[in-house]
Amino acid sequence: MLNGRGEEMIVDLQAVCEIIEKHGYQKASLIGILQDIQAKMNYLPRKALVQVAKSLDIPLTHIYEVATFYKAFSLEPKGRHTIQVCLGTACHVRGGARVLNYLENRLDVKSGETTQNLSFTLENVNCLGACALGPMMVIDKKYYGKINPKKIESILEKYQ
Amino acid sequence: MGPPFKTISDLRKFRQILKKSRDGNKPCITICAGTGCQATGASEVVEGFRQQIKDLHLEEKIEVRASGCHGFCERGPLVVIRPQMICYMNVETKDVSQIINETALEGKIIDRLLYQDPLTQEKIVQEQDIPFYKFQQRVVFGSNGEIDPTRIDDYIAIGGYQGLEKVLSEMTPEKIIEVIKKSGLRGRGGGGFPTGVKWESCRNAKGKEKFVICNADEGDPGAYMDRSLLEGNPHRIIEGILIGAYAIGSEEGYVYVRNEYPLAVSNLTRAIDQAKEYGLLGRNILGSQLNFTLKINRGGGAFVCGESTALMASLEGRVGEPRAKYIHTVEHGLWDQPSNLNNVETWANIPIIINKGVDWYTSIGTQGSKGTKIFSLVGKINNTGLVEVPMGITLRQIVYDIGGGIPGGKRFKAIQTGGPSGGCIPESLLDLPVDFDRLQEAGSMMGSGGMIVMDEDNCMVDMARYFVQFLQEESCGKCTPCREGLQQMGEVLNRICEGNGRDEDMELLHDLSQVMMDTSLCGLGLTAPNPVLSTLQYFRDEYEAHIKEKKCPAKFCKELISLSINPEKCTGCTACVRVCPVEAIAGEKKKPHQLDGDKCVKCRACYEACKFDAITIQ
Amino acid sequence: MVTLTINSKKVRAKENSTLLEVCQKLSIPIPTLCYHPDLSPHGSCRLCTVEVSENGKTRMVTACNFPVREGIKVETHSDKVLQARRILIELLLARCPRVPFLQDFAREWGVQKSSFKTENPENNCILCGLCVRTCNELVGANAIGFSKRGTHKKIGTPFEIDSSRCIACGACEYICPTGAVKMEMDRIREIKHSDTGILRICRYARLGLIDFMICSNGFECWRCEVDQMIEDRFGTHPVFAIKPAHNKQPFQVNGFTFFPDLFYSEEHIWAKPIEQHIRLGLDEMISIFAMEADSISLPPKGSALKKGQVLAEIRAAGKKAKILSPLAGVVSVINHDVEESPNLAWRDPYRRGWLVMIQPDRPEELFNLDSGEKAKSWFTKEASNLTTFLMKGVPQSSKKDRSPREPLIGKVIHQQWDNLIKILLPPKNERRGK
Repeated sequence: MLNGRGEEMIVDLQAVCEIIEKHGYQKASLIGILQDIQAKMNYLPRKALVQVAKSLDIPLTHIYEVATFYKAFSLEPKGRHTIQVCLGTACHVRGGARVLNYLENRLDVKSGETTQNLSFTLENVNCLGACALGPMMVIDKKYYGKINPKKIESILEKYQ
Repeated sequence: MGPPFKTISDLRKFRQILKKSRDGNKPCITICAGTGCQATGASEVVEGFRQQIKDLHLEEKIEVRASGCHGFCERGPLVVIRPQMICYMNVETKDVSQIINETALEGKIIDRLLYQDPLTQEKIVQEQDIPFYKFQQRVVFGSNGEIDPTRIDDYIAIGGYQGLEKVLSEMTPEKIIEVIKKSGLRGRGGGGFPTGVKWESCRNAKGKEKFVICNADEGDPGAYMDRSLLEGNPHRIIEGILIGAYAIGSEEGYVYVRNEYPLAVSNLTRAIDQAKEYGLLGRNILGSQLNFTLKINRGGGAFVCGESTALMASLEGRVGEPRAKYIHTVEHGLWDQPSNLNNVETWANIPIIINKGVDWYTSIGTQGSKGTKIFSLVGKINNTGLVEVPMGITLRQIVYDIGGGIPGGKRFKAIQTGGPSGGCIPESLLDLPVDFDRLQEAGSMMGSGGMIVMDEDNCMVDMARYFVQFLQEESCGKCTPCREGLQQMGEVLNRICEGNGRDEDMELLHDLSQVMMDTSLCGLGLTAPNPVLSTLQYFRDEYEAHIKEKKCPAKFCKELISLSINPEKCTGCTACVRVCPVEAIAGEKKKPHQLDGDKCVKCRACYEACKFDAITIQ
Repeated sequence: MVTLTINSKKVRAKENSTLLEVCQKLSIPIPTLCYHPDLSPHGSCRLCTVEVSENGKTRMVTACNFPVREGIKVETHSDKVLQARRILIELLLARCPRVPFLQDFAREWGVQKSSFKTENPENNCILCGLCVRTCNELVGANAIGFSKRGTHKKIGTPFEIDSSRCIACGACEYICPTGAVKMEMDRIREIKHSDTGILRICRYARLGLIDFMICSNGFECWRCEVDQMIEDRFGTHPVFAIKPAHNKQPFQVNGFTFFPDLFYSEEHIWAKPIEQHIRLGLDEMISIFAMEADSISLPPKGSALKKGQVLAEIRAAGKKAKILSPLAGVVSVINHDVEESPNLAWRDPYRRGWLVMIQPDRPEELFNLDSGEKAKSWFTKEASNLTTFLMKGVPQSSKKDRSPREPLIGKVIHQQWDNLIKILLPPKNERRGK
């Protein structure tokens, strides 16, 4: 992954090895290992995946397949804050899609993308089980219920 | 004589001591700390109680307990004070000291925190008298409110692990399977396959090792009962899995849980550690021949992993692509070995059946569907929350008696069950008894238990489009009918919603549905047309209005509506000005406002904000 | 043999064969796009869907992976089947409208045009996965794979950059029905130069088809005489003739599983190099000691393990078996799952049930152990001895249903422990020559 200046970002391979060790070098733990790398580095750097492939003796094609299949993983660095808009059915019938739509316009990104200045990553999720609060969104694990465009503005201000 | 327990009688003695040491009359403040209530500030309330009790040196006198989900998420945070069972709703941190001083210490009731019946205006003191709870039968879910899910002793004290004791001391594996078969328990994950039959096939299958797996990858949008069970009473799930492992002859089990459920993961992780420490997991459990290890796998975020073969592929560290099930997973499943997969709610039923017996269990429910089912009642409904009802209850009872009807005086339109595999049931079928077979006959299905209520403002074509779009993102993309079929279905539904529908589109949707139902590789694709077919069946007129008249009867579809302000009704309160995200509404206070149709993005925020019905949608 | 009915005709077929195989033998035409006889069935294009009735229930199944069963009735050309196939072809044609192969294929099955909308007319990949399976299952290179999911699913190399695992054998291009996979000669030259440092090794040398050859044609195979010769000889792409990766697949020897790509030692330990470590585990024969084990003790992490020192001590019902290490090194990783659940080493000896990983003192010592053909002949002999012993007293009639790996043998393990030690772990001087 290149940073804004086109340089290869430094990847802490030592940390990757520690995560693999924590999972006991078991091939079956691949998804858990990738989750931990994602949590630590905020994305899955290519070099980290190459290391995982070597250490677990799994072809890189399989790891790339897994890393791009599951929604929990991102191959690009995420923003400092992650905004998740719930698009569960309960939130949908209460206007969840409109909330997402509004945020997409407001932040000028599509769902799944990160803003240019790396402030926010916008995602849609399928039901966070707080249906009583719908439509709702979560920013960095904090829940915001019964939201509307105006409310969003005042919430976003806190994260600028 | 503490843990680990080497024999069954050690555990029984420990339970006796626990029970004796617990004073039933000691005031206990129970705060619901499920995710729903936490989202409305329950953690702060718990912290407030703990801090004040400490400051007042009342630790000996009053117990504070953060429990699992009580179900009535609409009114959270919920607080119940024992022994009187006084139930307070929407509790905030500022109420904490009053509750301690007046209710816990003096037994006085604080009127303003009670539930008020919207019809009779009557205040209700005790949980069980509130209509939301009164019509439920909380067999599986009830103990959530009694225990702190992070303490194994709480579970043991209310009789936890007695089912395990019973099967290890007096039942053979065959006998257990017999009991589960007779109980009529059917899988609560959606398909409704008889659990006992599945266990028997797995027990009889040949393999070097066998696996029992708990499917906690609750993916149906709008369903969260499994999460609440895992969060609120993880030991019951562990106990159920242990009984299954013993019956099937398995030494290793997995719980595959959604990564979006952090509280469930942490409560379950802790519960597994406690069970190990108590000798309830590991080798020679309670002195028996049973060896069993249980592990947690966090899902990577893929709806399709709720499908059994995809889930097992994911457990092996691969992508969640289903395979053909011509050879069943009970014979060749995880690591190609016999594997038994049940969902969370199914496992939670097991200890109850073992403890209370087949006769008691089969007295609940209908001919083909025994026991209770937990539903998440959400959407356009007054009392949002989790409800556990006996099978056979009608949809009308659920929506009106328990759910309290539709908010804002709107008209009921449909109820969606079964998630993306289910269908939309219209008002004419509201008296349908809820069980596996009847829902299927109506073109929907039980699914894992989501019930999403829709009112007159919801467009049914849009609902169909919503589910198709959901599945487009969640299909694994392996097989042609699901991958390409959903893409094309979305295409057709999109153009209908945008007013570009063609006369032949409804037939095209039928043809596509048929081929998907006939040829898809897994359950996701096979059932994907259900939301489309059920809306086509029951709400055909809405499709026709979109296609022929280019109108959305629910006034929902953006491209087919325009908003304006009725100057006669507008009082100039500026509520709409304040909510408009694009500054399309202008106007001074106390003067009728104007809406600029070019700027308007039709987000309906103004429509929902207006208290005077002055925004008209055409 | 099983008897079934296909299109109202009674047919006899071999057990475990698939419906498609049976139909092909009978020359019943069934369309397929993702099927190839040398590859595992994928069941993704769904074109081979047929109707099967069994126990009064009729359902649609894919012939390519449906195992024939006694008494089933099959309809390969019912109206329902034809209608489904027609729409499936229309869907694929909408995906890849400009692929001549697909246009011909559609016409052949009676589809003139698609009623569905095309998203990207340039698309020519139908995601049949033939290339991916060829690369993984036949070549063994794992250079290409799937990525993403749903409508975004794609085929390519990881990160869509040149793969160092690609040996440029061209089998993917050969097998692709739509022409979506193309060899890019410039890029191949780059890969070759950057790969192992040895320049321009012929693709057939990389496949193991010829011992060694440096390419003198700048990788323009169409100018190469050897290439022409090989193609003429096989009449197909050489990968499909020699199937190099098939030699690496595990198989059963006298009831026990043998992995040709593992190293085996006479202590019944298998070894596999992983990065700078070597992973060690019990082979499936010796793992029977772990079947009813109470514990398996492993050397602590960080300890120096000498060759011939105890690698694992298995205890069961007062009995002990000491298994010695065939290699020297520092123990770097312990498999705690095996410590926690000792019989995992028996349940799954080659995957989850390995014992430890070591940093070898001298990595080259690994090659003192046998693998491939040499290991196989040793393994065969040992397995035969063990099976003979375990089957002693088992009536002839039930022998063929019984695999020596089945748990019922567990009962005899404790009684026969010492004899089993003699058979599997004889003192060094009594060992049969490897």
